[in-house]
Amino acid sequence: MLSASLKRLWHKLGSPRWFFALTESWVKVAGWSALVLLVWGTIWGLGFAPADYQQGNSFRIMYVHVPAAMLAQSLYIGMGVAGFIGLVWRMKLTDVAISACLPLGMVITALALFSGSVWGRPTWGSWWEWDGRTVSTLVLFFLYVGIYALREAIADQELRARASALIAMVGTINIPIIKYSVEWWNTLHQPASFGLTQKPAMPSEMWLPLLVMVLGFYAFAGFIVLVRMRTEILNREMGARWVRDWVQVRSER
Amino acid sequence: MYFDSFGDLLQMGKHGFYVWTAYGATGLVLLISWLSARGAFVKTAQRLQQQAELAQRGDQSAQHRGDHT
Repeated sequence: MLSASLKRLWHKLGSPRWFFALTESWVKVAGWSALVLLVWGTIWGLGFAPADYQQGNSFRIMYVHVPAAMLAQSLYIGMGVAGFIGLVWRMKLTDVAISACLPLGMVITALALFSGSVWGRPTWGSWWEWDGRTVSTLVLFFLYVGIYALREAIADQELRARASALIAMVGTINIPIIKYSVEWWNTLHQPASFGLTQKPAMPSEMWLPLLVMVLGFYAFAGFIVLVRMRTEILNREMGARWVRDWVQVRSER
Repeated sequence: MYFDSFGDLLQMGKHGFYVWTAYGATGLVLLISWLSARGAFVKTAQRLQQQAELAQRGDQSAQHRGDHT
């Protein structure tokens, strides 16, 4: 019984129409949570957290750099998982998800690199170091750019979906490399500020704002990805009856 | 607040330039991401709306012609 209802849910999840209806309210929740968390975390991190005894105030860059870097990797993992599901089960929605994660992932990875560089200048004394973590993050950026260019170049929807799913999936090999780069290579990059299993190596008045910012970035990503997925669904299902009904209801509001 | 004055907050010791550059870039990236995602959704919704209106007008004029023949 349970497996039958799970199977039904799985099929529903693959249906663009059902997804579109389901996420109508999610968009608002994600958007407002992102706004509140980001404003709250920024004020806390910039104005109220104590300065680092070694790095001084430059450590406040952590509150945007760490969430950006985490999100850059999570969005890529999301694309990899979507690619895998798309290749195995031929679900329509997975390519919609990849197309929605891609632009945000690309700019967030660029932001992680940029904020890292701006943090590196006062801390390491240089804007760029050929360090394990910076290089593997640069590779992540090129993977995003590569998939983006590929999607622009292939006109056939089916082929485009399969090609980008494959690269997204294969490229996830880079994620553990980014993660363990600080342990594998002798590196300038400091180790993880944050983990699910161990206690953070800083006092709570320093890491609590980081937690708020991380949650804010993920809520923001949820918001953007949902809006983009919904847009893509409307574009792909343009001729469908339910889309016409939706347009009608919307115009009457 | 951690800082004594608003001037201190802006200056951030000697790191003001770096900190504010990083936060400025973050704000810009998030804002542009939001505007472009929203813009795409609004554009698609408007196009669908126009299509629906055109289709409706088409139906009406077909009916109209039908009345005269």
